[in-house]
Amino acid sequence: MSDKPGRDTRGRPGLGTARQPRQPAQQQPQPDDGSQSTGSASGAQSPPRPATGPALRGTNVNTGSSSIGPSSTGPSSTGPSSTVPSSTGPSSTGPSSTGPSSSGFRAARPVQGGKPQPSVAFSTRNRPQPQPQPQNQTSADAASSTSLAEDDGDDAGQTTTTTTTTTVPQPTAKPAQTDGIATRPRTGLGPGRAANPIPMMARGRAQARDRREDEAASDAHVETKDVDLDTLVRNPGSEADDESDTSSESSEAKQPATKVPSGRQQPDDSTTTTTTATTTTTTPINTQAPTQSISTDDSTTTTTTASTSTTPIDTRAPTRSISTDDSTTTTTIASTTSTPIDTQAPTQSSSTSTEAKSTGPDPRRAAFQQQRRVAAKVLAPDKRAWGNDLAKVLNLPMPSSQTRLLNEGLATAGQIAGSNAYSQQDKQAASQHEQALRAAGNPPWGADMAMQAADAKVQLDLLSIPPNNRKLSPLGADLKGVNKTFWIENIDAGGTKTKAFLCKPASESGAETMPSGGKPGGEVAREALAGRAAQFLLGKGLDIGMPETHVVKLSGGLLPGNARAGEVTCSVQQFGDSAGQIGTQSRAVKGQIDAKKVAALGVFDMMTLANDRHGGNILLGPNGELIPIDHGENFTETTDPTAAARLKTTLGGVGNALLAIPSAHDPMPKEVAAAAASVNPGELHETLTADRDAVAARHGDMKGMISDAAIISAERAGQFTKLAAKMKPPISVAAAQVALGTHVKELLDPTLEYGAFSANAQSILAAVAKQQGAIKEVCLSSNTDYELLCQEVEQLGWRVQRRGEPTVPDLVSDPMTMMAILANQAKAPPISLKASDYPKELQLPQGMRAANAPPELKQGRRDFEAQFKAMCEANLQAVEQARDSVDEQAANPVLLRTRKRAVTALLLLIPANQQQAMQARATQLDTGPADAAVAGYRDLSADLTDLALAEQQRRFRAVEQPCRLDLFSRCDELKGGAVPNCYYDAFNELTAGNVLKGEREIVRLEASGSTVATVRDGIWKKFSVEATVFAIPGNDPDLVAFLDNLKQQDLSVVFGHYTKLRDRIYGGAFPKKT
Amino acid sequence: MADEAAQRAWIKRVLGTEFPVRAAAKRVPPLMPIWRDAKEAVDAGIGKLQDALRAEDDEDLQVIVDFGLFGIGKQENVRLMAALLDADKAGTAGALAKVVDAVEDYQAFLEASPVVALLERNPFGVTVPMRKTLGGALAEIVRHAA
Repeated sequence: MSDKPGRDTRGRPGLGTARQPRQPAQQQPQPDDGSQSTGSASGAQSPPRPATGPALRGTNVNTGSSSIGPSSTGPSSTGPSSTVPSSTGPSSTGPSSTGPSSSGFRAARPVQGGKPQPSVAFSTRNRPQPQPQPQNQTSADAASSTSLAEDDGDDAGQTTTTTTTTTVPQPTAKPAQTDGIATRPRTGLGPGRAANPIPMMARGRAQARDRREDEAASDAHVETKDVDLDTLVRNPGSEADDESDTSSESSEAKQPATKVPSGRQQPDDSTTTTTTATTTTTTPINTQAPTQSISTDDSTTTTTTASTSTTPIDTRAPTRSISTDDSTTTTTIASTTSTPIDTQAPTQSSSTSTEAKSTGPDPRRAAFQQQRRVAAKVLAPDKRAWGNDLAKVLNLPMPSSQTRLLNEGLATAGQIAGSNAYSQQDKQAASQHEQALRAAGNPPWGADMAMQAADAKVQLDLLSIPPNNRKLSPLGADLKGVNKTFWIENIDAGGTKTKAFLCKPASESGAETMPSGGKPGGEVAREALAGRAAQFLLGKGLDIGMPETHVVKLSGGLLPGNARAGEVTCSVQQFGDSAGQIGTQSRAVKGQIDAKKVAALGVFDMMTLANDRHGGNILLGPNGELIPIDHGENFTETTDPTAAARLKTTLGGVGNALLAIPSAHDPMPKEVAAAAASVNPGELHETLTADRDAVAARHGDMKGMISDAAIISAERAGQFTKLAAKMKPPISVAAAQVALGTHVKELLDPTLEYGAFSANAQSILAAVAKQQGAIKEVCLSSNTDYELLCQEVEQLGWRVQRRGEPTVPDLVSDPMTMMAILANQAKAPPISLKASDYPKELQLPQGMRAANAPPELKQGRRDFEAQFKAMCEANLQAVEQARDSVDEQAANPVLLRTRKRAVTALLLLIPANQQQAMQARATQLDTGPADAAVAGYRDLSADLTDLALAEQQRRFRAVEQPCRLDLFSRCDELKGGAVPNCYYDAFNELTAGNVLKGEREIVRLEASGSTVATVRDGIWKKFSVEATVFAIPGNDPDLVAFLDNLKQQDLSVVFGHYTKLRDRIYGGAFPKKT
Repeated sequence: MADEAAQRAWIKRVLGTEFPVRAAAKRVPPLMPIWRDAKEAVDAGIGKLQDALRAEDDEDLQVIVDFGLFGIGKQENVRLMAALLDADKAGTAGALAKVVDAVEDYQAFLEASPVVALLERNPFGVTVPMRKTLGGALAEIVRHAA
């Protein structure tokens, strides 16, 4: 799905606001080469022994005159948060402090843009902002408009501007993501066998006999012997021959004939009749390519029917069978015994001759339709619904999504064929797609068959929509994506519209490189390949519940707003019922998620190198199962440094939503571990390669979208996962993911020999096994706790990846790096050298520029800079070593300290009548064992956060309307009433009117307590309005979720007192140090 | 009963006194047959329903058939059967109290279970009168046991 927290945060107004500081004007100064990673190691010298702190600790050099290239630290390095020396951090935030004063907190944050940020009331504005990805960072304005449109904002700046503010959500828009149809009651055929082609064959044979015996009885068509398609596919002739033998002997004598006399039909009816007959007789034959069978009399039917008994099921070569009279029958039979007979073309081409002979309404037409229904064994909708409901309450595994796809597709085909609402052309097309579905046989399908079936199903869904409305439906405006996303809907016989697939057109080629490191447009192939990988793992006993995902080509005209000509390659994902995104679920709900499901998904993500597993990309099914979606960034191109660096966050860090599920930190369940250990990585490689090539063979534009290196990396990741699964005692899947995500270089370097890889893997796994407790504690920290941890890390000069914010490489984002920094109080080094940082003998004389320095001085300065660079690299390595050695003993004191601070602050934000009880809990924890206190404070902090949020929500509701009116009136006043539609939407994303958008900053808090916001009018002229605080996107997922809910309820202006809440929680509300 | 009355009459006539009449223990008819009959009736309906599901030859429905609808309410049923066996065997007040508890549990299950509601509302034309039949039997059991 496109609804990703990270991306959401951009796509949704408030979140975009948070990101705004990344605009160039607010970027912190970067070294010449743009890297910020150099200094990341500075604090590293201290770990694990703080006494050995880095030489650069506390260095206050930031002239930028001689920046040290970031390349020195490589992509995976942890960059410092800013060029601001850590000395700017407030002393009040020392480890032993009970909490910094608000000013201290603000002061602690590094400055941006090379100058200190103003100490404004909204502290989150002041924290170091992630560095934008170069390719996306164009301008502030561009970023602004982009963020409004994108839903894939997980990758700040990586997404393209595909939507403008004119596409902001409308009041009626509702998130459609949780709507699903996977288990919706639908008319569908039974299992594949119920819809198997044999009955059709039998009918065809019966028709042949009918003619020979010239007996009129349409009952002959209702022969529906059940033959499993699988059997038929395996032994194309066996079942059919058997049946043919027996039936031809017995029924020839008994079966009444069905007349298909020439000249019996009226022109209007003849086509239909002929179509039906032809389709029926040739259903078993899969004719992918157009075939033609032109007949002028009945002999063709006979011939075709006879031929089916020996014709292979799946023959795609175009064939042509022309018979003009009875004399050709023999010839036709002969040819068709080895050649498939067309099933569709004849219905068009042969109609001319038969029309002339039509004599009137064929009484058998209705019988045929009845027979068709009987043969297809369409399960009545009420029965389907009942079965689905019962299966749900019994928590029974539903049949595979492929089976559902088959059944639903056949049901749709039957519906179209049996309805007068569709044109003949539609019916013929539907019949063609039905055959394609039938030809796919019973699931499970391979890549090619699955694509064929999915394509047919999609086309049938589209055909089910009346021609005048035949377009895809854009996803709810509030969930709009980087690339527009659409629903493919289905209309059943009762006119009920249901969602069938989520459709994502491929990015246009001009777009930037994708977060996976792949080419634009390749996300479609990645989606499909992830689906195949899921099927592969299903065969190994790992069911991750991924909906069917495939690549199809759709006419560009079906896509609203599409400017591309011709067909558009899209990924389609079958949609299912959902109770919402995992990222918005409560702790209680997350705590109940089955450990096996979580572990299985974790294994899948590791083996496919998922690079976008945020909280919006896992849905929660109606029975608590996980439904992973949006795999367009899987199969990371690890040769792309940026993409590889992302994995630290998206797989091994805060960007991975799985890590926030408690059961992910349990030891890997036996069943999952056994299944993962049974995977043969080489087989995985071969399967992925074959499936990738199958996709490319069918969709030429997908060729080359997934490199061999990406698949090799997946294989290597599979090897690592396998080793992790074999650990004794078993480790958690979360720990394994952290290990893989934070050691991409050591594990996934394609040039790494297996021996070296294996040694690295063993050592990494052994290390992470000891860190599981600490990983769990950090990952399951309440949002308040986590924010405090982030702030402490920032105070040491590092930049930190926040929860729910777009992934930016090179930030501190994984739990163990964070703990290593805090446990050792490792300060980040500056990323550039100031003039004064050089030794005296290397300093330039007054007025001399570096370029004009004497050669000896130049060389000396270069040597010094090289030393500085080497030192930074050493520091980075030291941090990484410290990261691998931090255990619970080191982490717990840090966690306990921050949690106590959080609790102290949060106690002030909850209703007074609950404060005493909560305080008592804290006191009880203080008197208990220290180890228990860490977990106890975690829970207490989480509970208090919930309470504080609820209280703030209550307050917010009370003030929303007055705030809105205040802004309206103020806008009007300032503009002299010339602004007819001056308003903001929920997240500072303007929906209409002349005021396009606000500056994303809430600039200051007036002495009076009111807020002044700067907005722009239609000609981009700034003016200020006085208002209460706008909703600013929180970095707290709970806040974001709440705002989302509000947005659904009322898309009008929503002003946030959340900011105040957040400020109180994370900033000024902390008790001052006494 | 007749023997006991005759004995009492003989004592009074011969010995001139009355044997103290001990409060007669509550006589409870066997409870298990009540339940068994009702359960069999319902199981017959479930059996027909399973046949109907099977006849549809649908994969979804086959999953339900494979699951086995007879097992629905198994936990409550086991507890009730055990209590009924004890009550029929011992007939003590404690055993009867357990029966009442078990019956209440089963009644709650019948009332609240969405499975029961679905089985009764099945679209296959098969009558599975769980609440009526089982509920009636449970009411009767309670009437005897309470």
